[in-house]
Amino acid sequence: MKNVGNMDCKQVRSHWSIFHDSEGDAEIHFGIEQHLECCEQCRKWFDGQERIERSLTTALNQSDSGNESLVNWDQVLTESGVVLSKPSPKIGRRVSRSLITLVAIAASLLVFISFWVLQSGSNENIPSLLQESIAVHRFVATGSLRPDFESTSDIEVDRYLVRRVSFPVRCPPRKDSGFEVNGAGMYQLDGQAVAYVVGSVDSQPISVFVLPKDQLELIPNEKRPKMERQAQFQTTPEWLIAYAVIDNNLVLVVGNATQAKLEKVLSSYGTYPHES
Amino acid sequence: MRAKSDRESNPSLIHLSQTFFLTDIDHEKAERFVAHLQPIQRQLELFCFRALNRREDVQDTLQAAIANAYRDFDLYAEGTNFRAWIYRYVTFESLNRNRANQKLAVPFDQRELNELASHHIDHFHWESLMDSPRELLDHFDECVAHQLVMLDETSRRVLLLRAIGEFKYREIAEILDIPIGTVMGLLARARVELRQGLASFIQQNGFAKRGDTA
Repeated sequence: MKNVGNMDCKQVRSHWSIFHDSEGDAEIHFGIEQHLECCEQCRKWFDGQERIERSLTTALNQSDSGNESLVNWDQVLTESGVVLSKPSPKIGRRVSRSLITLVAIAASLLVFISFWVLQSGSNENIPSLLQESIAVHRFVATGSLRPDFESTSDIEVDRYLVRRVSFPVRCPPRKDSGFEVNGAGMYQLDGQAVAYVVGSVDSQPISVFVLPKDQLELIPNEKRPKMERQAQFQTTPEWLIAYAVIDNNLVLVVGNATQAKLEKVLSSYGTYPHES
Repeated sequence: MRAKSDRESNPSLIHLSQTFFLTDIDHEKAERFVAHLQPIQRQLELFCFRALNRREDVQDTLQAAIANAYRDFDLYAEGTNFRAWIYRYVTFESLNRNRANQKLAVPFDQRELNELASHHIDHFHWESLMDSPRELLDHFDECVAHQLVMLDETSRRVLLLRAIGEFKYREIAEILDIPIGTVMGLLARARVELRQGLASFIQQNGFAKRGDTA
C-alpha cells in the first residue's frame, strides 16, 4: 500500500466518488492527483471505475421501452389539472372563448325574453328605465348576475364607484339605513352608463341604480316634476321601485321590501361624505 | 358618450367576462408550466422508472407529483432552478409510493465506506467488471431493478438524482433536505453496493468464467 503525500491507496480509492463528480475539497482533489501520478495500480483502478460509472449511467438513462415514453403525458397533464381539456392550451383557449360566447348569447336571449315577458304582461305602463332596472334586479336576486366589484364594505364600494363611474355620483346607502352592501357594477342603457349597487335589506335583495340627472328623459313627463321634490313609487307584481332625483343623479331602488324601507334606502343616498 | 362594449351592454356578461379573464390567466400559467416541464419529461420518467419498486406506478406517481407542483407553481420563482424545484415533488411522491416497502436509511459511516472500497468483492469478478463493463451491463436490466431495490430509499434517490438528474451534491441535498455530507457518503456507498451487486450477478450468471481472458 503506497503512501504518497497524506493519502494511501485505500484513502484515495474511498474518495473516488467525489473525485469523479468534481465535488468536495480542492485539497482532497490535489492529494488524489498527486497519488495517481505515482501509483499505477490506483490509476488503473480509477480508470476501471470511470468505465463502470459511464456504463452504469448510460444504462440507468435507458428503459426497456427504448425511446418510447413510459408515460402518457397528455393524460398526466390533463388529470393533473394543468391542461383543462385539450393537449394544446391554445386550442383550449379557443374552446373556452367559444363556450363563453355561446353562454353570453344565451344570457342575452334570456334578457330579451325577460323584457318581452314584462312588456307583454301586466307591466306595460312601466317606463322602460324601470323595466330594465327590474330585469337587472331579477338577475341579481336569482344570483344569475354577480357584480363587477364584490365587497361588503360601504367604503370600498363607494371608492369603486368614484373610481369607475364617469358621471358625478354620491355615496351609496349604508348600513344605518338598513342596507347591507354586496357590491357594485356598471352597464349601459341606450348608450348611457348606469351604475348599480347591490345588497339587501332584511336579507331581501335590493338593487340601487344611479344615472346622471340628464337622463330624466327616460322617465315619463308627468312624473318628472314630482321626482324633484319627493320619492316616487312604482309597484309591479314582483317588486316595488322607489325613485327620485337626488342632487345630480337619478336614483332608483328596486326590491321586495316595504315602501318605508325602500324610501329610507333611497333617501340615504348621498347623505355621507366620500371617503378619500 | 362612451363606446358600448359587450361587457357593459349586457349586464349578464359581467360575471362571464370575469370568468373569461380567469381562464386566460390559467392558460398562461399552464403554458409556462408546460414550457418548463417539457424538456425534462423523459428524465422524470426515467427517474420514476428507476426509483419506484413497481413500474406500473410511474404514471400515477408523476401525475400526483405534477398536480402538486402545478398547484404550487405560483410559489415558483421564475428564473430559479425549475428542475430542482420539480424534482422535490417527484422524489417526495415516489417515496410515498414506495413507503410500503421502504427500508430505513442506514446512517453513513466513513469507516464502513473504506471497508466496502473493493476488497469485499471477489477479486476475479471485480476485475471482470472493471475490464469489460459494457458487455456485462448489456444484461443490466436483468439485475438492476433488484440491485436498486437492495439500496435503501435515500441512497437510491441520491444515486438516481446524480446519474439521471445530473444534479450537483448541493442540489441533491436541497431536493432531499439532507446535509451535503450525507449526500457524499450515501452516493459513494450506493455506487459501491451497486458494483458489488453487479459482481455477484456476474458470478451467479457465469458471464465471466475463471480461466477466460477478460
